[in-house]
Amino acid sequence: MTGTSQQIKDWSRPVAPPRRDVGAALAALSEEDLLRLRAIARLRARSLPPDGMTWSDLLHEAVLRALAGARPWPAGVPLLAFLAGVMRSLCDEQWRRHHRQDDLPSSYDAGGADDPERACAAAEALAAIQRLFASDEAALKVITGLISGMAAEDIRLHYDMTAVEYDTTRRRIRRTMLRHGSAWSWP
Amino acid sequence: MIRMGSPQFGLTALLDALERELLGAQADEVPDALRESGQARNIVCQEIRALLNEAIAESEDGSAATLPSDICTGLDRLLGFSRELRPVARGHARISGASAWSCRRH
Repeated sequence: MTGTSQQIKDWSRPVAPPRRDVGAALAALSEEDLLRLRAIARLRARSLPPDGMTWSDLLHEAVLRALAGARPWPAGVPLLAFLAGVMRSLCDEQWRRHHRQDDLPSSYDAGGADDPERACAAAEALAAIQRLFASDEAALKVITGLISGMAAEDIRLHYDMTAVEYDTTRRRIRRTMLRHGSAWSWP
Repeated sequence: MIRMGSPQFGLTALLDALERELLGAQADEVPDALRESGQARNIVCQEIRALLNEAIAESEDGSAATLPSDICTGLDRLLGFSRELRPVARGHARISGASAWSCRRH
């Protein structure tokens, strides 16, 4: 009987997922992952308000929040994907803060729809990314397809690319981003 | 809701797709690309490692500077002041988001 009541007590306890050790996982990142993390931070920094954080600020803040548990690291999600998600949220948060500072309408807070300043910044960022691939016609096609929200298969069919051409182009895009990450800046 | 076809929709879609590419890049592609750029791999890695260590050290300081964003937003609205004015871990006040972050490190 005692055993049963103990069991009931155990079941009624809230089940907290085991806290994942972000610090240990960060310390264990390979050199490749560090480079990948930098490239992702630089990429995400493209969607920040133009007068705000730098890519390193963005990464620093994301890591701080992850370490503090402000953003719990879900089980089964790789650390880099998790940090990328935190950086993505931080970019939206920076825009909300930017609008609050400038006393702009609160409707801009809800994801930034119809925000002319954010639309303008997005157009500039898109132009900067497209310039990066100006000499690569196939890459520009893929980039244009991605901007339109097309899936890989749709892009391939739309631009009449073979699977091999598409994969080779994606590889070039990845290398270009990794190679030129440090050269990106606001116009 | 962001309208399809708007620059913001395009940028979000593109960044998400490129991020997936970077996350999925094969291990050998990353150092190869860095080599092509002429940057020294160990220097770049040290730079990122230093940035991470800085964040780890700041976190271990037990700083209250980084609260969950929803708590911060709530506090900001309740108290009617900007979060940037709160003291941060290393004893300097954040005057504004831009200036505080840019004074950290570059």
